[in-house]
Amino acid sequence: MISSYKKAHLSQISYKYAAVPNGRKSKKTEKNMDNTLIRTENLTFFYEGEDGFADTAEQKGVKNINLIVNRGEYVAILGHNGSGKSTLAKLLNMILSPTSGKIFIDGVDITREDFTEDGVFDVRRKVGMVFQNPDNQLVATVVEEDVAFGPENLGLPREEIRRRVNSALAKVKMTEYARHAPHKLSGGQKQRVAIAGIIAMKPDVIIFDESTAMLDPIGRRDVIDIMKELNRNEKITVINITHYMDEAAGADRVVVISEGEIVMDGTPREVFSDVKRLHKMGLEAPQSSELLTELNSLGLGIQGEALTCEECVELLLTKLDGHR
Amino acid sequence: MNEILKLENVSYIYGRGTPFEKLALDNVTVSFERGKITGLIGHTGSGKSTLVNLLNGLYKPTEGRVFLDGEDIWTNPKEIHKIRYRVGLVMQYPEYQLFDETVREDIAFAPKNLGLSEDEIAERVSESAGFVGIGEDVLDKSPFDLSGGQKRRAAIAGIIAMRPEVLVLDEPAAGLDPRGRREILGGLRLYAERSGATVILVSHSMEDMAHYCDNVVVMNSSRVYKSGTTAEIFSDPDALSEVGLDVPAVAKIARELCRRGVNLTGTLYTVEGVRDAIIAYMKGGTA
Repeated sequence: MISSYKKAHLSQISYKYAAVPNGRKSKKTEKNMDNTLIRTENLTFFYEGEDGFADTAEQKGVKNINLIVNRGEYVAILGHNGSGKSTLAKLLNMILSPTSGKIFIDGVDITREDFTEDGVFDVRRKVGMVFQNPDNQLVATVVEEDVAFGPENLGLPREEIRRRVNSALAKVKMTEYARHAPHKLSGGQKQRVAIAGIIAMKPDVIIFDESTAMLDPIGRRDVIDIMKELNRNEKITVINITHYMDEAAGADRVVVISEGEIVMDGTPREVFSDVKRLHKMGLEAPQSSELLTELNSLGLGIQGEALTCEECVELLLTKLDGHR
Repeated sequence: MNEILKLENVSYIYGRGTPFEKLALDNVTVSFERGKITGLIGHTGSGKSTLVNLLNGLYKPTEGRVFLDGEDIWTNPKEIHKIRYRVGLVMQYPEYQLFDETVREDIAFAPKNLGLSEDEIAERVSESAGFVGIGEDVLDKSPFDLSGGQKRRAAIAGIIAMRPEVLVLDEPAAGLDPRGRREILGGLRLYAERSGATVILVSHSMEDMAHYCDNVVVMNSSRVYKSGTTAEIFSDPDALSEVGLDVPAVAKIARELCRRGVNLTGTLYTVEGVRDAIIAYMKGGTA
């Protein structure tokens, strides 16, 4: 049974934890043969303003997004404030419904008209989201109860819930805090509890929507490490929406969104080689790329890109060796 | 050092006499230089928020004294609100505190409470809007129709309009994209230069610290771990990593180049500084 307290919260936070009615058997969807996990077709969304359809300064929609994310990928999404990247994330787990266009999750068209409520819950289980402010995401007064909230609503047996909670807390390295009160944790620890709550739902993909923006350097590093481990060891697809270029440099692939459209999509090396284009969109590259671009604009003619400090040092040394 | 704010042997204890008693600041002595931008860095729980709240008298030291321009701010506790006009505090996510119908009215709120004349208020509104880059056309809009970055700047303008001698900002660029960060932090530097005011900046971003601050104070475990000029602080990455902090990536690159025999000199912690040092090195090397 879901308590009334939780019911009241469910309406507001159902995007965090999918709720599936008790006893519902997970229905195998049509077999998805290829490796595609997320596919959008001409995905378009406008925010509805007072005068019909209008975006506010704060919230911008997206236009004609054609994006394919494969199973197991680690994708970073970059974009200026108001570029539409959070809108895209909210469309992918059905917090928002598109104005036009299609979204396929695991081969299922989630935008078709006869899509059921059960289907919506299933999408939210598969597509987990971690938001920016950890304080907005924790509902229980004890860490392990918070993590159990999602699996409880799946109607799982007690032992299975226990197993999932323990395993999820271990994966985010918060086992020793299982009986602690969430509000006494640091920001980074709270975010890790929020992530554990998602992992306990066994999602296919986790979207991190600026989840490190409010954390101090240690908290940020911890959350980034968890993202990487989940991707590598648990084969969970990761989509990291961020303003930190060094986070994006560590991804398999970088997608840049500007004015609601995808404008760049490639490996970090490809995307960060065009520093001038990034600047025009109000973005930056990692400092190593910025430094090389600055030097090359003064005619140094250094070939190649550097995403890490080590690469940058090696490249510079080849240039500077003749001067030693 | 010409200091405007000084903490002398300040300790602060939360929940004194209760089981939750916690020493948040432990015998801290630190000064802030007049007319400069000082960065305040340190981890969650290092004591930097407590320190910020002591600077304008929101908290009263459990022990020790806080001096503003040579005077103990707690000499007359009934007049402590006057200190808050002189030391303006911009809290985290200040845009949540916007409330008035227009940006103009919102920025005018503090000057009105200071009892200034209409003309004086108008002058202060346009002056502080100018510092943060809010144009005339935006002033008559509702603050709730602005973008995130604009809202943040409008909220900061509301504090600047009090013409505080010291402006303290807690993470003013958090959650903004690189351009938004540049606009806010660049605006603050312009403000410090033009108005002569002192700015104290709390941030987690070492890159921003390196780029915008003159001095840096590093907090760790309720104490001041290090303080000095930006160059002094970032020239010792090992000391910073010991307390879990990092130096900007370019500072690491410059340090490794030096270690490998490329002797660079100059501002070795910003992209521009390292660029110039490399160019100078190459010119010196070929000459």
